[in-house]
Amino acid sequence: MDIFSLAKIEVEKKEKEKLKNDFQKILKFFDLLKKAEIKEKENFYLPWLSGKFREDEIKEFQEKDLILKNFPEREDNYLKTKKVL
Amino acid sequence: MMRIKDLHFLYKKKELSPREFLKDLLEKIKKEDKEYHSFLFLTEKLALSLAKEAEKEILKGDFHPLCGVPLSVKDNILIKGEKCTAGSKILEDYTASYDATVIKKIKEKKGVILGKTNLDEFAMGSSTENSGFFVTKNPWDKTKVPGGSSGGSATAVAKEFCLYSLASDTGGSIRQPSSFCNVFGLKPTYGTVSRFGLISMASSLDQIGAIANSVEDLEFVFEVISGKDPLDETTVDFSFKKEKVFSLKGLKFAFLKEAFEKEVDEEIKKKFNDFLEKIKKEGAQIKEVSFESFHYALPCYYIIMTAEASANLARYDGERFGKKFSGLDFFEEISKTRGKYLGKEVKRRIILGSFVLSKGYFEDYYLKAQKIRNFIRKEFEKTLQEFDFLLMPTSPILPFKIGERINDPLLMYLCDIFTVPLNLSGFCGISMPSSRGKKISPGIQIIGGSFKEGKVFAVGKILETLI
Repeated sequence: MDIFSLAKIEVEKKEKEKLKNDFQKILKFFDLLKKAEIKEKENFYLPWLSGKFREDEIKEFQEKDLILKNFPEREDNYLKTKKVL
Repeated sequence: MMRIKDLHFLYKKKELSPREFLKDLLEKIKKEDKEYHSFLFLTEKLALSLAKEAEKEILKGDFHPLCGVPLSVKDNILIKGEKCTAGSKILEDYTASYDATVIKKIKEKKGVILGKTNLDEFAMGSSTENSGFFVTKNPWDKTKVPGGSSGGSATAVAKEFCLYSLASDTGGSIRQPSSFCNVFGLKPTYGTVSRFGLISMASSLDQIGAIANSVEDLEFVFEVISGKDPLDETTVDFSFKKEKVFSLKGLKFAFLKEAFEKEVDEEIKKKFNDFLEKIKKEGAQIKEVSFESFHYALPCYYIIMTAEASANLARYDGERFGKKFSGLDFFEEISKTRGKYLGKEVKRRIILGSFVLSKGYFEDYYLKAQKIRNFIRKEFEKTLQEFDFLLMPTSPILPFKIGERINDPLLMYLCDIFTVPLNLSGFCGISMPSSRGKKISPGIQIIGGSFKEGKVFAVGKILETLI
């Protein structure tokens, strides 16, 4: 699968070539990290974020109409899309 | 230049009313902003109703410093019933269905929200040239960029269209435009200000902060917008306390050695050095520090940011909100919608993010970046345990010409070398001008440890008297 399909972005051939060119330069820049001789074993974390859990409670959202109004296609209160399967 | 305290005093003495002041500002914006394009749109009805409410509060006597104070809001923060475009064509017709927590808090204090400001699309950029609508101009030189991504907010504050602006900072998006427009900008500690209702770019880096015309004004705003929010699980129990610092004597400042590297503009080096001399004269202890991680911060940032952005921006598919391009089947429709309505830089970052997270590359890019990020955090932590503050320039370059860097993404990314380390580490900092006035001058960052906003404001107020 190519990276454009993976990201679900369809672009024209000309734009694709330009983007590929940019990616090559940027990935070369990212490769700086491969050479980094930093000996760090742990992944990033913030010590002050404790990761506490809470109950997952349902709260009614009062402004459903405002959400419905943003639907690009709708039928009554349903969101209308193309067939997925 | 009008400060929050000055306006509060005028309201108190009944020499001006919020509605009168709002009317003056709206006239000024309509007349002058045609040249700068700092606002995407005004929210006049909302502003008028908030100004009326502010007047009622003022009549009662005891009112908050932010009551009746006009502000602008970067257009990636939701205000119920108002459009929110994030600077993107894909959200051109989107209307927010709820208030961001910061907006709720400002409304409670009767702040007068008068409009939404321009930004790089989805806050991705360092010049506001990536806006899907138009380019904002630098307030002190219209041929140059105002910085970004909060270029609209910084220009609006510099031109005194409002007293402050609420904005977001993911890799410098508050501090860098503040520096380019010669105003003050705050990036708070990660977790102090709720991100609920902020259109997410990279969730582990995004923070809402403010742009204003003085350190004290930033403090007034931070005091109101900070605090635990049940709607954002990454916020912490934090209640802001003002601190006092009476002199720089005995305070320990570290400054970054890399500020004097050859890639940094000569004028910036000179002004930064002058600043160090000034504080030394005032009795501050200063010492050079060097970060082993410094040159890894930028690629590390761009890997993590694109990875998180690719996930966050998956929601812009044209199905539930936003613009939609009709295709033959469901997935084709989504790919076409995203291809057509997302801008170049946004597409670039989503695709790069998908790549660094993909099988076979994840370990080399994303996981390596996570480890380096932790190392950066530890280096910051160590420095800020040893010193009270860390100083560095805000940007390695001065405002550049519109169009000069836009076709070279890497050249644009290099604008962020001094700002991204703070987002990677989570600590707080402000950018302030090195010299006051209606002109371009290099910005200086004053960085403090986690939750040290009080200390940063206190020392910032002293430093402000030296510029």
